[in-house]
Amino acid sequence: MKTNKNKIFLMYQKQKSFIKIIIALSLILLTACSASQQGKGSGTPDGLHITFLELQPRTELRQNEFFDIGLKLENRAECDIQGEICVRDTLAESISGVQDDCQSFELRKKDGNTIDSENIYFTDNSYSSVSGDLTSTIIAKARYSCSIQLTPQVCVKPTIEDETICRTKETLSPSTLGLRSAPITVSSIDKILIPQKDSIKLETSIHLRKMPEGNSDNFNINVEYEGYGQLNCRDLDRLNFKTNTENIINCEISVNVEDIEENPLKISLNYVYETSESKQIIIIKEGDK
Amino acid sequence: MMKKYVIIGFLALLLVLSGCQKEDEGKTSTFYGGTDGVSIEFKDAAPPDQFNQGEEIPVSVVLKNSGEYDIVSGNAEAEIYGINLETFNLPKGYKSATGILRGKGEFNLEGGEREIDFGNLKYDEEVINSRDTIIRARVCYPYQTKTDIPICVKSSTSEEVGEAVCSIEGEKMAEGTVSSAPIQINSVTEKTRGSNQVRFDIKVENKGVGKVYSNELSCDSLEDYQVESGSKDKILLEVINPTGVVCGFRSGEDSNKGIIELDNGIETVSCWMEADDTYTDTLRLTLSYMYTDTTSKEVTIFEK
Repeated sequence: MKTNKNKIFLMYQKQKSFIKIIIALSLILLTACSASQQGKGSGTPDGLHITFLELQPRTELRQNEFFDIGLKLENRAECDIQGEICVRDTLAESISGVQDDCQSFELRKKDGNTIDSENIYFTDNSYSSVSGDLTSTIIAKARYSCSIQLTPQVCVKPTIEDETICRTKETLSPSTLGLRSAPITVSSIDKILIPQKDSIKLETSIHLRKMPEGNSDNFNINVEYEGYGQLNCRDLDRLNFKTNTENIINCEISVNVEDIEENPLKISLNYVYETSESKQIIIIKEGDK
Repeated sequence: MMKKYVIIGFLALLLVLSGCQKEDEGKTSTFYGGTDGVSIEFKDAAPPDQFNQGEEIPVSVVLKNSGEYDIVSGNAEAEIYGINLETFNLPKGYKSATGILRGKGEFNLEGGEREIDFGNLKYDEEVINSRDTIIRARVCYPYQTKTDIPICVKSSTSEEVGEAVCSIEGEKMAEGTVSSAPIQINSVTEKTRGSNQVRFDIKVENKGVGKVYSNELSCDSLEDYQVESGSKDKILLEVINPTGVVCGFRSGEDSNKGIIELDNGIETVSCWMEADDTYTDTLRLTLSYMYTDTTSKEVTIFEK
C-alpha cells in the first residue's frame, strides 16, 4: 500500500515537472516568434533617440567645476540618418557654462533588432560666473536627414465587380509588408478604385504620421505606381509637421489594365527632422554648502 | 495437421477472391463521373519560390484534364496575369497547348497533361531587400458534359392505368450517368404533361471552382469586360436522344437545342416529348461551354 502511494506521488511529481517544461518551452517559442516579426514593416514612427549619459553631467555641479556633456544617440528608424547635434544651456551668454557647440553624426538604419548608436561628448564646460545658486537646463538638439522608400503592394482591376482577389476599397494597415519605421512614416493607406470611361482610377489617401517628439520642415514626398508612373498628389503645400502629428495626402493615377494586377506603390519620403532632449542641472556657487 | 492445411487453404482462397474482385473493379457504368475539368498549376520551380532581381526565371504551367472530354490540340489555352507583364518581361495574352489534351479514359485513368511554356521572366525594377508578389495563371478551354440517363417515356393515361413497364417516379440521374466535367446535371425528374406528353426537369449546376461562359466565344474575347459579362454563365444544351424532345429556352423558340443561363450557378430547364407508348429510353444530352480556372504562386524577389 505504502509502495503504491509512493509510486503515485512520484508519477504526480514527474507530471508536474513535465508540464512546467512544456509551459517554459512554449513561452520561449512565443517570444521568439514575436521577436522575429518585430521590425519588419511596422509602419510606426520612430527615429533618433537622444539620452544623456549617466553623470554627464551630474545633476548638481559646483561653480568652476569642469564637466562633460555626454550623449548617446540611437537610430531606431529604418533609414540611414546623418546630421548634426548641438548643445546649449538656457542661461544668458554672460553666465552660461556650456559652449554652444555642434558635432556631426551618421548612424545606419535599424536592421532587425540591430540598432546603430554612437556616444558624443562635449567637453570642457564650466560655470564660473555665477552670483548665487542657479538652475539651468542643458538642451541637446539634433537635426538630421532621413530618406525612405516604402513599397506596399496595391492591386488594381479593370472592373469593380469581382471582389474575390482584389478589393475595390481597402485600407492597408501598418502590418502590411513594405511599411517602415521612420521619424515621419506612412501609417496606413486607404485605397479606392473608381471606374472611368476607358480606365480605372486608383485613388489613395496616404496617412503620414510623425514621432511624438520633434518636427520637420522641408518635407518631400513622391508616389509612383510601378509600371504606370507617378501619382498626382494634391495639396502638398499644406503638409505641416511642425504642429500636426498626422497629415493625410491624396494622390491618384488612372491606369488601363485588362486584368487584375498587383504592383508596388513606391512612396519616397525625404525630409530633415529635428528633435531635442534636455536635462536640468543645479549650479552651486563656490563656498556654499 | 489437417487443421493447418484447412487454415492455409482458406487464406489462399481469400487471397484469390480479393484478387478477382480487384480485377472486376473499374467503370461499370457509361461514365466515371465527377466534377473535374482541366486544372492548371505552375510547373515545379517555374517559377521557384524565390529568386533575385535581374535573374532570368522560367515560367511554365501544366494543364491536366481530369474530366471525360478530350480537348483538340490548340483549344486549351493559358495566360499569366496578376502582375505587370511588361515589368516582368512576360508575354501578354493566351498561349495554346499543343497536342490533344485527353480526358480520363480506360487507358489513362488520371487524364492527360500538357505543358505551356511562357519563356523567362526577368524583374529589373528596384527592390529594397525583398519583395513578395503573387503570380497568377488562368486556363481557358472548351468543354462538354454528356449524359446517358435511363428514363421512362410514359403518357398520363398509361400512368393512370398503372402500366408497369417503367416508372416516371423518382430521381433519374444516377452515378455514372453523367460524364466528369465542371458543369453537372444534378437532377433529372419526370412528370406527365397533358394526356400524352412526358416532361423532364433537368437541373444544371456549375460544380467546378471556375467560371463558365458561352461556347461561342474565344478565350481572347473574354478580356473585353462587356463581352465577358454578356457571355457569363451561358451554356448550350442539346438533346441528342430521345428524338422529338423540345425544351423551353429563355430566348428563341422551343427546340432540342438552345442556350440556358445559370442563376447563381444553377438552372433548371424543362423539356418534353410526345409519349404515345410506354418504354424505357436514354436521355442523352450534351452541354457545351467555355470554362476558366485559375492558380497562383507567391514568390519572393530578392535585391541583387
